[in-house]
Amino acid sequence: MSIKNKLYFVLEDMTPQINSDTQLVMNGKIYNSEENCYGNGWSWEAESRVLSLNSYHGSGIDCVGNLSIITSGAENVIVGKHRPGIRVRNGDLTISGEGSLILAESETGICVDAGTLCITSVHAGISGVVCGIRAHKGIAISGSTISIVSQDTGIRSGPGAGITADTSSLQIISAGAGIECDGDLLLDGGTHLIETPDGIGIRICEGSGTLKNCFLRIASRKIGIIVEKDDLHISSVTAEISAGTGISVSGSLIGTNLHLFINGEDAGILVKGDFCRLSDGSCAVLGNVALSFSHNVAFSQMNVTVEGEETGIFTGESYVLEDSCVSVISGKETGVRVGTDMIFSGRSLEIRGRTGLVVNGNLEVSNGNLTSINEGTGIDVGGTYTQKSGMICGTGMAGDGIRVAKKMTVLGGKIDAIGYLTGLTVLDNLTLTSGLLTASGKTGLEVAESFKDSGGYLTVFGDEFGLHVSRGTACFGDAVVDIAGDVGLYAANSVNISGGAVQISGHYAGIFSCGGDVQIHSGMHDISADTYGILVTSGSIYAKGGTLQIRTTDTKENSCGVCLTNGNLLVSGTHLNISGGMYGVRGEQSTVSVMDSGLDAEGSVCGIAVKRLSFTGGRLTAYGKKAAFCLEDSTQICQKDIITICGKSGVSAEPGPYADQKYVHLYPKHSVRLIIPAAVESLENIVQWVDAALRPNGITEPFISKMTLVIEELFVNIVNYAYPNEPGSVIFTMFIGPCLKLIISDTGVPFNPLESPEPDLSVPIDDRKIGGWGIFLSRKLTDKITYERVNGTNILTIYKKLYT
Amino acid sequence: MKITKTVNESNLILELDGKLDTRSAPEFQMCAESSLDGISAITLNFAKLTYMSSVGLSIILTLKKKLGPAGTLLIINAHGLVREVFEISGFDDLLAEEEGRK
Repeated sequence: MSIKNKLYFVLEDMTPQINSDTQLVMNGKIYNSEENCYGNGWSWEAESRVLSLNSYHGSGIDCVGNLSIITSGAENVIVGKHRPGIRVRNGDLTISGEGSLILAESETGICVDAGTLCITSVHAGISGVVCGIRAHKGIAISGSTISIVSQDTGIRSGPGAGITADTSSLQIISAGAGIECDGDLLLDGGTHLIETPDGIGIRICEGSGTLKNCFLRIASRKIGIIVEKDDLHISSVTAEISAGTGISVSGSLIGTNLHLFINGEDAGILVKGDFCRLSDGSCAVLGNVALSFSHNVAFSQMNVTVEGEETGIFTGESYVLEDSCVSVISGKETGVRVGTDMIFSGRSLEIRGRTGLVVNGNLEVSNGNLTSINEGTGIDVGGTYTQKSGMICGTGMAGDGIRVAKKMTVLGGKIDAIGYLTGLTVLDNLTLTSGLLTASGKTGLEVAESFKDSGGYLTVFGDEFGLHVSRGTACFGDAVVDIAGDVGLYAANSVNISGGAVQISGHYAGIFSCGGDVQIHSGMHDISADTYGILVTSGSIYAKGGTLQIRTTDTKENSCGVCLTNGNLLVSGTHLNISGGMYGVRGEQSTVSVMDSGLDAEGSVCGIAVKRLSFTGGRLTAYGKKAAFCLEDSTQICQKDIITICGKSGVSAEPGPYADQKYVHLYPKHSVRLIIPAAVESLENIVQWVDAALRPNGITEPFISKMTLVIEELFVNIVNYAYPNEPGSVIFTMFIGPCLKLIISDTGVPFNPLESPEPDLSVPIDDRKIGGWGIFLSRKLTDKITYERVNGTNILTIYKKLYT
Repeated sequence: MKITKTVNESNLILELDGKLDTRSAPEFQMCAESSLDGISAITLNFAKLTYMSSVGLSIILTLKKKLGPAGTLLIINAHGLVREVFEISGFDDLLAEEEGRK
């Protein structure tokens, strides 16, 4: 038995000995309650059991059975003197009336031993009591103003009984609990002020609590409001709570249209039940752990400001934030810690703490601004991360900006990740299909598995690595990408670029691939670095489409545009421009293959320094001060079908030794051939053939007409002289390159048309010879014509540059 | 090639349309030479001539010789490759001064 209860026991003993159901104690005297009676300031009507008080001044009222008190007069003062001010045994008590009621120096202000208490439209002041109001079967207060100063409890209901206060105002100052309710509590309307310097503001032991349409101010040492077993509903309430713990609910907390200002030393709001749902309101909370929820939480259309000395918001399970503004400042621990999944759909969440946001499950962002600026890690997600829209900013001044343990998918919106260590770390796949991702740190963006950007804008900067893809592939499709770092892109597996614009710059290397191929399919891309543009240690580089420019600027010995260890460089269907500090392309074991495409490679020392070079069409230009090519095996390019230009003169040369040339230009030997009877009738076919051979190669008039004229002249010459006795044929072979080469051969009688005398242009027209103009015109309209007789064949070779 | 022949007293005007090459040359030569009776001047309008090989030069020289020192031969409207052939062969004297080319 507690000391408190012992005290009651002693006081009970001192009350007047009522031992009959028909007794009424007024002002220390016993009356028969079955008869009407009266005294100074009071009258009793036995039939209706109504006690009228009219300016009553006296000691306690004690009654057996139901009692109705109606007050009138200026004030009614009841001094209980260690007994209850008003006591009803075995019955209900109702108090109403216009006169105010003052109960002082009593054991209990109003005490209903077994029944209910109903107070209607009464102004009551209760002071100097142990307990203000006590009723065994529940208390209903309506339209009343009650102030209580008690040593223990302000208002208390009996086991399982509830308390209702409707359009009333309660002002309670008590040492223990302000309101202690063993059933359901309903506060509807009014203004309630509760001060419990050493205790609890409102304690609901058994039932649920409902607070609505009221203003509530609670200052308590221990707990502001505690609901020990059930739920708490709050609607249309403005509450200011200052306590050790602001609100503690064992069940769920449902709040709507509420404005809470909570200053909790230990905790602001503590909810242990299944869920807490707060909507349409505002909430400002201070606490060691400001908001702590054991299970699920949802904020909808809330403005929440949270300041936690250790943790701002803690949820054991999910956290749903929609259309709300939440600002969290936390000191030692975590800003927001979510036990399972978090769904964020706006409007804003701003977090400052040691670690900003920790989500143990999945994070889904569909809208809004999420900003987390922290000492440690900005945003730490233990599950997957999915973003459809919104703006996310994670800053970790000592850790990572954003860290995601599982798959990360960005379908839209904007992400800014700034970290001391890594801007954004993804320990699984990262897929960016749209939106904007910016990451910076020692490593800008680290992806443990595969990285895929299929349409997003990616900007990454890292002191060490820009984008680091540890195990999976790195794919860029129709993406706009800007990457910078000591190593711009580090890829342990293959790199695949198709479409878009990728710009990568690095100090050591632009792209460093150490476990796969680098493939470029389309788009316009630019890779620059000091030392290595693209460094590939095991795979090959396939440039299959688009344009690609690679530059390095270093003058160190190993600086090169493309550096290969084992793999090859294959250029097909694209234009690749490589400008290396010392070497354009370098790889002792490698082959450079150019197939129907363009490759420019230059370096201070050497343009292309590889084992082997294969050229099967397109255009290849190489330049190096030492040599254009440094090839271990040069047989591949000494093919007959290649036109090679050495030096910058543009004069074509037959394939030959060009190992020591500084400037080499390769074109395919694109040739066409025609065998035709040596007869004037063939002329039309020849003209058609010339046109068909040249026009598809982009060669136009007047080049074609001039070439046709030259061919006609030389062919007619052959027709006239080569086969005097029997019919013969003529073979045309045309090589199409920057300098057109045409070979006309016949097996007729030896005849060198170039030996025929040239017309003398100095003589007057009338004195000129009629013939001999054909060879003259042919020479004038071409760059060079040679004749040789080889193995019974007349060979005329005509050269004419396509461009002059 | 199409040839349009006009005789104006002693002046023969020949208008050539198409290409003058080894195969079409005999037609032009015959057409011109058969019309020389009483002709002292020939005008060759090459406005529609797109191509001419050396055979054209030979025919023109032949015609010039047939006209004799007193006759005149004038080429008008030569352009493009045709004009270039005349120029590099030193036939400038036969080219009429044309508008826009002073």
